Amino acid sequence: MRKLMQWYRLAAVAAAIGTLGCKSLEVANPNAPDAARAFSDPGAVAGLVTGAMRNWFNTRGTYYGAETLDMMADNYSSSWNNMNNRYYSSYGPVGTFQANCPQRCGWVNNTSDPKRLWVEGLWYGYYGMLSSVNDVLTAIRKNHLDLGGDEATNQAEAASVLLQGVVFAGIALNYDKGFVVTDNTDISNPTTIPFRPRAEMRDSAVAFLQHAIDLLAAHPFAKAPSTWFGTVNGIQYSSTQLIQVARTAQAEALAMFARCLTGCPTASDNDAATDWGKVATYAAQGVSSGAGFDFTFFQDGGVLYDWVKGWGNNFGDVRVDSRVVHLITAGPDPSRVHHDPWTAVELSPNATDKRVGDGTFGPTDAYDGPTTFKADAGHGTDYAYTPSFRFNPLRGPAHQSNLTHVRYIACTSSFGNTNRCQNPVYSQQVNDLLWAEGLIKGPGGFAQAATLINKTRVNRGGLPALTGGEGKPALLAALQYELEVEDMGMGDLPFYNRRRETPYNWPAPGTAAISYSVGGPGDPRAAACPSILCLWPGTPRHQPVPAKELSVLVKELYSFGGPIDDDVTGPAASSAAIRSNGEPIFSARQIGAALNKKRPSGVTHQ
Amino acid sequence: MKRSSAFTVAALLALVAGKAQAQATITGKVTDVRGEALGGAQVILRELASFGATTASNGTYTIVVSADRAKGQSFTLVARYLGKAPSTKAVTLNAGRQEVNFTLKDDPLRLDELVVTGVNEATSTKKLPFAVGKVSADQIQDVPGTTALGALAGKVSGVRVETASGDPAGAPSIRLRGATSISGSSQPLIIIDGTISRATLADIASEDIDRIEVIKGAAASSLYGSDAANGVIQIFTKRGKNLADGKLLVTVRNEAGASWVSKEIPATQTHAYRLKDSLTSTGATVQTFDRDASGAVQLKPDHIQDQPWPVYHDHQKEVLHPGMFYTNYLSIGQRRGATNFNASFENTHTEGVIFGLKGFGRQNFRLNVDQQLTPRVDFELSTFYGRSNNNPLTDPRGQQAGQLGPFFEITFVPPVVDLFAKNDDGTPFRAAIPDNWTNSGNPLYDLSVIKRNADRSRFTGGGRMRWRMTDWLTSEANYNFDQERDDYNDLTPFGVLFADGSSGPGSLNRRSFTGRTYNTGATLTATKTWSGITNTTKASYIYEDQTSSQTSFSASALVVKSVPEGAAADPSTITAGSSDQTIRNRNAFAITTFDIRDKYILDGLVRRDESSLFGSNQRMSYYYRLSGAWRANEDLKIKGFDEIRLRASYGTAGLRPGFDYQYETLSVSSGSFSKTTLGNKELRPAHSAELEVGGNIEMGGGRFTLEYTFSRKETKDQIQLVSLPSVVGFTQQWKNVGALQSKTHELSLGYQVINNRDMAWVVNLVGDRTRQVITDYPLPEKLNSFGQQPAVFFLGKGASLGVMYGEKFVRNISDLYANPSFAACRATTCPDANFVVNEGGYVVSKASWQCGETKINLATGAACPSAERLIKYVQCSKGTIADCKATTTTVKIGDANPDFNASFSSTFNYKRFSVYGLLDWTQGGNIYNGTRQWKFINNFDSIEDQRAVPAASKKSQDYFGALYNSLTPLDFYAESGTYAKIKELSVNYTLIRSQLAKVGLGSLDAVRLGIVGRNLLTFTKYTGYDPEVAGLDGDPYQFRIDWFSYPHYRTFTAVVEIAF
Repeated sequence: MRKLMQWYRLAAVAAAIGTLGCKSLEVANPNAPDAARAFSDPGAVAGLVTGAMRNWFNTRGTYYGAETLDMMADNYSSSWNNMNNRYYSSYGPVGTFQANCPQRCGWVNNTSDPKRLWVEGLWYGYYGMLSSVNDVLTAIRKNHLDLGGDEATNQAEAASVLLQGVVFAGIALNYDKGFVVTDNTDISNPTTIPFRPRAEMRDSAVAFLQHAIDLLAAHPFAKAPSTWFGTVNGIQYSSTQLIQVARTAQAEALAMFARCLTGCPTASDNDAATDWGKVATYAAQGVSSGAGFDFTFFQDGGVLYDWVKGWGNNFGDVRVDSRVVHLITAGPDPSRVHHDPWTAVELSPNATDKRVGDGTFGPTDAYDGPTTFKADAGHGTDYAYTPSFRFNPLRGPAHQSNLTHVRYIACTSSFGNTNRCQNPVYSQQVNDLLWAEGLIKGPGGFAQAATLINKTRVNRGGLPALTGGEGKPALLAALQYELEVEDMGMGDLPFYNRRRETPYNWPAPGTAAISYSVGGPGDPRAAACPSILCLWPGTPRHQPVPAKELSVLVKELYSFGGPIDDDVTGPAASSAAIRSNGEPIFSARQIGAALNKKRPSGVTHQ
Repeated sequence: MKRSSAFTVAALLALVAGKAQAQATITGKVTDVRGEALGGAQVILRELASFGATTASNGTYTIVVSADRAKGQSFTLVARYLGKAPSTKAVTLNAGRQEVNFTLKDDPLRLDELVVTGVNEATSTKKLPFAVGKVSADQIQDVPGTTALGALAGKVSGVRVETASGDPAGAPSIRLRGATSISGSSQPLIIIDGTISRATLADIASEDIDRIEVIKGAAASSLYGSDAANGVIQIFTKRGKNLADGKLLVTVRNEAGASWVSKEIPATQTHAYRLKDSLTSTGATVQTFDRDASGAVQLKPDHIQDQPWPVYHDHQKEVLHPGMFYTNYLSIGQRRGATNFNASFENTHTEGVIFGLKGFGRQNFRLNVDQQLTPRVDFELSTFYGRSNNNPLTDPRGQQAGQLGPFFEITFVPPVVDLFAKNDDGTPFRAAIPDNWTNSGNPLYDLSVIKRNADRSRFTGGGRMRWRMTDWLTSEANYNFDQERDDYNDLTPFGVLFADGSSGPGSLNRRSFTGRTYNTGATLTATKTWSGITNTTKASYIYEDQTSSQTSFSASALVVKSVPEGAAADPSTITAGSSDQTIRNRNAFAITTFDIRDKYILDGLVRRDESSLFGSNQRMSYYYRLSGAWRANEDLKIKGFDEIRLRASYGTAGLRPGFDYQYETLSVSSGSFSKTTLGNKELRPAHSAELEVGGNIEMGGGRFTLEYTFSRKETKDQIQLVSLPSVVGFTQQWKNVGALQSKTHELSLGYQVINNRDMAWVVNLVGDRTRQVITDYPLPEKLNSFGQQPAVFFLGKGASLGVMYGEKFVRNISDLYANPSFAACRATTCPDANFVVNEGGYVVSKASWQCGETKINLATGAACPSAERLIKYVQCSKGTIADCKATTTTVKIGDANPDFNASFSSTFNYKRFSVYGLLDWTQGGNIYNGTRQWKFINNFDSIEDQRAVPAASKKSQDYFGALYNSLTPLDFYAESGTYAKIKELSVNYTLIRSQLAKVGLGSLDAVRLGIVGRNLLTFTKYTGYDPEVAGLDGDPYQFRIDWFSYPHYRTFTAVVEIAF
């Protein structure tokens, strides 16, 4: 009996431990939904559309690449190396510390260098959007998921197709090749999906944008969800307005596709190869047509943030490149534009263009340095002057100026702003200038083009009106001026514009192209790029497929730009790779299986 | 106390007297070699573990065995006492009384202690088939570490304790031998009094520690399975077990002193700006900056920093200032018959060394009670409650923990700025920094206005019941519980001023974390002896359950100035978050050990782990171990050797994935989704296999000991986050890829130099050398970094883990021609003769050598073509030099792995005077000094001070600016990490009862007076505050990077310890 009692004790202990110690190991992750939950829940699928739409805005202004491209275009400039701006936009003689490359550094495209991130930002941003909208389309088209009625479902489908077009356009404009992957593509074996050259990507973009237009036209609506365009204060665009957005995107994809390599006139994708008639046609139906509007997202400074405008309009972070300053003011000396802005402080401008004015700014005290500016009648709307450099001169010629872009200062944290603003992806001005360019370079319509240019040139800049009778070169020169002034801050439009590298005789018709020296007066490389409109030697015209992607797909790494690939005629071997490596670490079948199973069958400155 | 002890013993004897005639009674006395009684010694019958006793203060003991068990058998009686070698005597158990006395020899090297970690049952050190490190209370008591694990530093070979930051609330990181994870943590499994601990060890007071046991890799830690590849550390706290029977011991310890940073980093005391004479209001002439029209300072034409600042403020001294340190500790322990307990209270406060910070305070309560319920059943209860408060630099759990603190801001403030000036509104510490120096800010202002507070509380409890069901079978059950709560909040007030003079709307951040774990289990242990062979077999089941929850709230703008609450914040700036985790593990193991005639030890085990952390298709994993030891001298009897033990062990253990690694996740933000991580149902724990071989030698009657161990471990199936093709949508997936191998040699030497009645001197030397290589890495190679830290640590197949890659400037003319461009022109326009090695050891163009910014040669006055500049090293990375397809500037610049680590400790006693010291030595290895690299952005590094440089050799700011290198890693900052540090030093004098009686304190047992120093002196060429430094994220051993962390400081205190 005693022993029996003892075994009872043992059994009691075992039972207690069994109770405490036999819980199920099947533990759910409550913190983030999985695809199975997300793709079968109408609200979550709608959330994918919302996320993808917002990512359009964020990707266009991504920290990793967007502003960098504008720096390479000598549009904005910064001595800080935040965003690797200084690395990718500076230059200098071999062996000096001012620059890492004798000309312009090419894209660092290997898997080991942190600078690779600036090649990845746009790629993964766009393909992340694409994956989301493809999942939405799968849920709607194959699994017949109802997102809350026909209108909501149709809206989501049309928006998803619109974003497919936006993604293909983004890849075409930024990379030399990409993937066309839709909801109908079998992605179970990613390594077999072929790369498509950028021209095919562009054509796919135009086609998918057209498909979106057709869907929007077939199922019109008055108001899209406000959350698509902002966590708060999102504008509820109608289907008609989104059609206009798609048209502007089509025009942009065609007009900004061109690139000018060495031997530009014969390059297959040069400016002359663009179908300018279609550009004009699309832009004529764009956001500035009819009841024009600016296509904006509400930047909240957290979920939605545009680094290009956020930093580009902040005195302390970024300045206007001295090249642009030369175009829009009386200074600086062209020979110094890319050389050494430190030896002479630029004087406050006194431009006739109201967007520049006398460089004073704002309704209150100015921000920077010991000097205080008060607003007066002469102040500019888009540009402001400060005598103070917040940059150490010893950081080398990064071609920064005393001017800061302030048009979108509400989108910054300066002057008491909180990074919150209605932030345009496509302003009416952008569409007007695409339209005007289509007309000038296309079938004609100089007078209408002049009218379009005058909308900013006269109405915003206060400059003399054009009539159209000035002739094509003068109109193009005026257009180029407007593009420089108006497109600043609009994502990578300044870069797209400049890589076309058309050395018009600007600023005055008939005068010789403005020359400047490359590494300082007398540098023989000046001959390679005689115009101030030229991109700096070694500047890449687009980005390579990121090394991270190539490595996963077991493809050869390559890059563009820099001393090794000076003329950018073709891909160069990726420089600075430590060693090449990369073997498949998964079977494509594994990925496909996982996906198929998941799918329901139903600031500090540097 | 003596009287009550005697009474207790007498009472016990009286109780058993009635049965004495029928029982076997063993009595005796345990003394040391000097004849002094040893109270608290354990005397047990080895084969009848239920029968044992603890000696009273006079050293006597009594063991009573019932008549039915006393039948003339032969047993082994063992006597043990802390710090003494155990002694055994054979006894024949018959009814009646017999006396067995023991005299225990000194064992200052602790050669025959019992250990329980990693082994079947409590095992003598002499019979271990693998290395187990031990630290006893007597090794800790002289200089108690500020944290529990700090006590391990320098005391066990193969154990590295790195306190990456001097933050008083910080807990050190520990690595045992080499790393097991390429990109994860090397932190071992920590068990405190049976509780598997997942919370910070900063909560635990080292005064409470009775002993620590350490097993360093899979060869020993297989018993702990899938969470033990990094090794296991078991901490045992005091329980009153070692006290003399009937003894009540009260110990009061007070320690107080000060902390301060012993080193100041040299900073440039000069500048290169134009000066002019100005008149003061009193008519005196002073030099001021000659500013341009815009008010900006202007560089001199030569850009050379050789003029003293007009005013010099030593900002380091202003930010770093001495702080107070004190600890009050009270311990009450007693052993009385079947009960022993220890209760303690600790109150400690470390102010740290940062101006304006209150530092870290902690109050701990601990109560451990052991109760023998019946002769066969005993129960142990352990409880702990602790709370602490810290005034941190940043949120300790935040994403930018430690970053952008005062050490960052202060790096960029020129000495001319008066940080103590007042703001325009009269508040102290002027926030605006004139001239907008890059990244500058007044840390004194920030420290004074930003309120940060971190509160922690923790409760740990555990119970263990043991039932000796028969003489050979024991069952055991345990339940252990650990709960923590951690609250952080910071408030930046409305109207806070910034360095540019503007003001902001303030911000508010709050975060609350709660965690709870429990582990429970049951064990059956069987022990049988036959023909000189003892077999112990154990089967065990363990269940672990862990949950945690975190909520956060932040608002980036306040709208009501004086109300720092969420309700007063701008609602559009509010963000909130929450996360929850549950982790469960079910584990079981069986282990068997054969002890053959005390000479041969064979041990084998198998363990099965199930965990919710494993992918759903891989819920189970198995581990095993096989090990053996041969006490060779028992057979060989080599003269002069007391012990020769050879041992080998091979075992496997694992590393568990993180909570959400297996899951497919979409990130959610403000109602929108995006795909992030593809799930992996096949995810397994990383698998580590280790072979450990070694030997132990003892000579000179316990005066000399040597232990050598070689370990080779390889951890496969590394758990790594890999990128996926963009078309997949999910950007990444956790997968089992890659392997890491490490080889470690460990050596421990102990020598009892002097051992006589009045004097004893014991020295210990421990050392280790580890090499670790990534043996498999089927991923794109990369340079690893965290946050804004430079990406300097290379990961790739065949690379040493911790190797640094970056750029360098050419120091040898022949290195120029690794650059294809130079190689091509070597025979023509760029021969050797065109270059020269300059005063700083760098290759420069001969034509520009000593050429200033004005393009005038500083030596000859002649015109020269360009200013002197450094030349970056370039090499061909693809193709041949003659036909190079790609070049690189990124090359190997260093390696974080030291050549070896060694520690030397010495304990000297002369009568009641004692001196203890610990010297820690790390030889070789590099530290990346990222803190120094930042200084070049504003030209504040001391190397730029050109005052003492001959005129012709002076270099400009432009020249030195190359060293900034846009924060891209540069060999200049891969500094030698060699150092030797006097880590611990104490000098004590103990007053005993007879001395105390003379001053009327005869009621006290002892009073110890002493002084203690921690981190007293460091010998190093490292230019940062302390070579014992690591980045703010990642494994501090792999990522040895200096990154604005809280500097280590020296502490010097006085101690009074009273025992009665």
